[in-house]
Amino acid sequence: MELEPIIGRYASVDLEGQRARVYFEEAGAGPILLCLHTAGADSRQYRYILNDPEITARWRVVAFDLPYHGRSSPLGSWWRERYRLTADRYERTILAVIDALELERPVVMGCSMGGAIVLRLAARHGERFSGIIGLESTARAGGRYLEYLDHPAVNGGELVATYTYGLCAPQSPEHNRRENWWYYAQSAPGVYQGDVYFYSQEWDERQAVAGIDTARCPVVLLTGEYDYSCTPEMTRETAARIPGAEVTIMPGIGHFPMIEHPERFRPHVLAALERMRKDVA
Amino acid sequence: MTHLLARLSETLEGDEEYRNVGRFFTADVLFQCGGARRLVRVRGGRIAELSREPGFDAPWDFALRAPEAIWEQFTRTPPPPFFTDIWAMRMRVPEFVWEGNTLLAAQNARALTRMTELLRVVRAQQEAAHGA
Repeated sequence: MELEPIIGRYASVDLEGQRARVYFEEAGAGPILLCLHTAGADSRQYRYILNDPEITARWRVVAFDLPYHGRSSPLGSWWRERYRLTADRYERTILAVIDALELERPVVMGCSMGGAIVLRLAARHGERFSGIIGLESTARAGGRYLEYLDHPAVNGGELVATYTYGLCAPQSPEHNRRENWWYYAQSAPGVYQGDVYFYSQEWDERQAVAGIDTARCPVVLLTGEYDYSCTPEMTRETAARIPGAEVTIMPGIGHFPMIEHPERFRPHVLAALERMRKDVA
Repeated sequence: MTHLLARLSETLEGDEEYRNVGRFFTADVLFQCGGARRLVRVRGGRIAELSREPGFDAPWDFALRAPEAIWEQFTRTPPPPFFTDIWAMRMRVPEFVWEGNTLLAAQNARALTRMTELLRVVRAQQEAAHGA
């Protein structure tokens, strides 16, 4: 029998006056690398990072499913209200998970909406993090919200998965792109749309990111050449507002580097982690 | 691009994925390439009729319109950034217009997306045949 080194567990997290049941996976030992999945997806997107022995030999990698996503339960009387993520809610949730799991000064790596919120974490709570790695990261997104993403006449799973499929680079291995499609098709009704509400409608941190102190909390931003949601230009514009931020545009990669093309992404993430280790040490 | 539509039917029928996801796809789709228009009547996934320059009395459900240069980029293998699929073009290519009964298009998103991707296969086959 061949077992992957990933261990999955459930944690009780104090959140919004409730006890949230949050699923997380981890592997490795060392300083903490906390991973944030994309809108409407879950921590499975990080399975290649969690299974990379070169990374887990140096880092304790932790990835959790946001409430409503993957194997984490929704909060409260979810059937009575439309799910909507907000920047404040997202920020509070991440900090609550960090407290519950007692993660000390993690490096936090987030993709897409995760790549967005890490900017706020660095700006508001830089002392709590050893650094941020923003994948497909922008201080202002926009243009992704559609009513059809949660509509009774549309198969939401199919539409959400198809809507995000072309965000991958065409050069990425088909099996990986399809795997991400599958994860997206499994999200509950309205969850992707609720996340996009935050990412595409509400999110505008263009002024706040200028306050990030990269001497205290280093910032590395990695964006795929083929990302048409957070374009390379959008990441460059964001980085230009953050003194000391480092940017790399990754050729032949799209919006989901860690799952769509792990081999091509690997040298970029290893370099980013090496950069972070200097500060962690 | 209109010459690719003329060969699309047999490519659709030979594509396992399209056959799998397109069996309920029924719509009248107008493709416009520059000034040229083609009405594709899809029934149960199959192209039942392809009409050149449909008139006032040939209604359609939704339309995909773009200049020739845009379709040329879309049908490349691999496509350049912003041209990976019709959803990418809808967001980032202002010359691409997708209008009409877009709810019907969203209901058939998987089949429609695959159908339009297969225009690349038709083009690649044609270029291989002509030694391009």
